[in-house]
Amino acid sequence: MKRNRPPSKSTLRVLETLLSEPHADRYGYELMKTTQLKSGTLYPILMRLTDRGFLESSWRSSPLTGRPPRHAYRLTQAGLAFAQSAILQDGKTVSQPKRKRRA
Amino acid sequence: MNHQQTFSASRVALQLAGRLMPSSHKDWMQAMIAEYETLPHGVSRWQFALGCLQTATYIRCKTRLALALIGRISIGVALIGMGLVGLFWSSTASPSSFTNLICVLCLIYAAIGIAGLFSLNWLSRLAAGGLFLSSISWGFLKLGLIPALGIRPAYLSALSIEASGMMLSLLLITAYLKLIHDDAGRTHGPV
Repeated sequence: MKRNRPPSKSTLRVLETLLSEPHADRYGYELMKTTQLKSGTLYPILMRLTDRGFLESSWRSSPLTGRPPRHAYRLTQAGLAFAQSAILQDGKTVSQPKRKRRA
Repeated sequence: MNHQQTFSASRVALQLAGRLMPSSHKDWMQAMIAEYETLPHGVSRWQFALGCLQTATYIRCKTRLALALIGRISIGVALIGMGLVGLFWSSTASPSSFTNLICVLCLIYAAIGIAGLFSLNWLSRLAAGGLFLSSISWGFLKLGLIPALGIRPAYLSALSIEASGMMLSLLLITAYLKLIHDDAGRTHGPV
């Protein structure tokens, strides 16, 4: 049975970046720079999101000659809905005031 | 350290990551290599390559391929160790048909162990073969081969039961490890 855990802070950062321009293709290095995440953190997140069907990836040929094609990432419709709800949920959690302890 | 050295060393780290990455995620590795080519030379390439190495290690552990590998090597080492201990014991004990039989059995165990270090398929094949031979070894008694070799039938009975149990356990463990290995090898890369 799969656990339904809320996404981590790093995943939220990736989702926020992808959501800022949902129909644009994003590349790994660009995502690394925008989210300030290292490749060792970013790629497992991208893999997980792709496995869950929230991200679609495709090979795009480079405009520069002699450069290999790059892998571009974009949110799917399901991913778009997931990102919006996850960010909204995170916002609620952050803005929620802490409960006072009973004496 | 100049740029050329940094570049080469980071590429070696990337190649190592490629080796570690399970075949089911090879497409992801290609994506990382393509991204690496776009990076400026120097520290950023190093950081990226180390991150790829971290990712490959994480995926390998997550897909339980590491478990299959550790299991296979442990079985191999255990069998070789068992074989060596048995051979040492049979060389120090007074020579008899029993010690000869133990010596042969230990050589077989060590050979299976060496095969296990290299391939899970060979380990399971040899375990299946060993199980077959040890279970039909009772039949050798009827053929009259055992007394001709100077081995007491009682020894053979005891050792064939021991070897059958050993081979059956080995076969079951390798079947489980193969299940893990095949499950981890299923492709689920990017489109």
